[in-house]
Amino acid sequence: MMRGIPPEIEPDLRKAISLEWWTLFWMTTVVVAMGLTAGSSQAMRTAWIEDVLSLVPAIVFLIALKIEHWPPTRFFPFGLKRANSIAFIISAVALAAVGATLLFESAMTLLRAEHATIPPVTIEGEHIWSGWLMVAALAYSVVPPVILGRMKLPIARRLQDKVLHTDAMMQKADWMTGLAGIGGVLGLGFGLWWADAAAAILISFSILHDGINALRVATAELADGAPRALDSAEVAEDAQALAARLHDLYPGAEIRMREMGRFIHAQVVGAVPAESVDPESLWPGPPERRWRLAQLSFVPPSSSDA
Amino acid sequence: MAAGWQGRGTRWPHRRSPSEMKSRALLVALCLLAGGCTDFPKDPDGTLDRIRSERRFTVGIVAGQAKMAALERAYVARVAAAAGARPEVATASAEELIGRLAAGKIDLLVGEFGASSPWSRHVSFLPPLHERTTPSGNLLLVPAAANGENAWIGLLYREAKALQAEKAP
Repeated sequence: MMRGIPPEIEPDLRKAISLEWWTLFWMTTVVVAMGLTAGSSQAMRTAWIEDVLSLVPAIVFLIALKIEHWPPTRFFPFGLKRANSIAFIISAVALAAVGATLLFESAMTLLRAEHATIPPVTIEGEHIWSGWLMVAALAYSVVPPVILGRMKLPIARRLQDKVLHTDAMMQKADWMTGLAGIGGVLGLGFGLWWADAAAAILISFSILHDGINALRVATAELADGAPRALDSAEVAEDAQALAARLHDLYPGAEIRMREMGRFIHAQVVGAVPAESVDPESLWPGPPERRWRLAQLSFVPPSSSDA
Repeated sequence: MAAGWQGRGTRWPHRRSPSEMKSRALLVALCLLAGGCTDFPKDPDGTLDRIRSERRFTVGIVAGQAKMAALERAYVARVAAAAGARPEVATASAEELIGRLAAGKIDLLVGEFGASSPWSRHVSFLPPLHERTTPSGNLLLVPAAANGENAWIGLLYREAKALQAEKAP
């Protein structure tokens, strides 16, 4: 009953691939712009590190998608469906790392009472305060993530793809950090040395919350935990509905479910179907999401149970 | 200022139309953003404002650089003219002056440092006034200011660049 890419999600997957390539292109231009204007500013260098880390989810999404449909081999007899789960935990670590880095650097700046120097630069003989170049680069760094993140979220929901969802969260972290950076640089310009760090600390809590949440879900997925919702550590509503349906059909049996990337694998322990079962007919949710149930297996009762 | 206005027969204050108010608000916002109409950036510890109001600033010269004296004097004189203040110069070791600069006890330091000086985290080095080669590596004659005093650093930067341009063939 294992399947490749379900035809219902192929158009969305193609859109997701295209969005991820655009993400790599635009975020690379952001990384270059930020690198050129960062100078000796610690805040800008931290923002630059975050922009580099923000490439991680897009890269691992594309790699995982490439290999997750490879056929089973002697070394991987179940295939590589878990590539998406591995990509998810890598993305979650990257997102949590962005939040943790931002929080640590900003807290240290406040504790040490570091006053950031933003010197002038000379361009074509004119002396310009380099803060203006930083503000321009930061303003530019906000635009692609806002647009790409908003485009990815509905696709991630339809595909139930947690890597893509984490990537959208990463884009949110990017534009929030960019706005905090603008506020921070302008704050420094007004003589408020603490403005940059204070704004960054507030934002780091939100990013860290998203990152830790993603890490919990990704860890649960790799530990064969029950399928989780896209944006929380709670069991997914469609998985709960499926469990209820299977309980009704096979009373007394134990229902086990786990998630492999976008797909749910269900196991009915202690029951045998009377006749062949079409898993799609058992899906309790909306028909356009029937592909979610990728495998249904039965474990007959053991002789000791009898 | 107000007396001057009134003396010239200007009505003050006068009522402005909403569109005039909007235009003025926009102009002020643009000026703030462009940094052209106000003192922007500002110093967190108000170094440049203090120097301008007290009309004096303190300079530390790293001891033992007799050959560089003329260049240092020329630079300090430029800074004094730009800030409209009188320099008070003291000489001491590099370590001592760096500590005093970072603590805000002096406003400016001029001395020779290696290109990758470990002090660059503690104070802000500005464009070099001179560079010389020694057996142990290149030494740069650089001005330095306390970190984060961006208005004062801007003035020091412009004068260092101007002196560089003056020296250039």
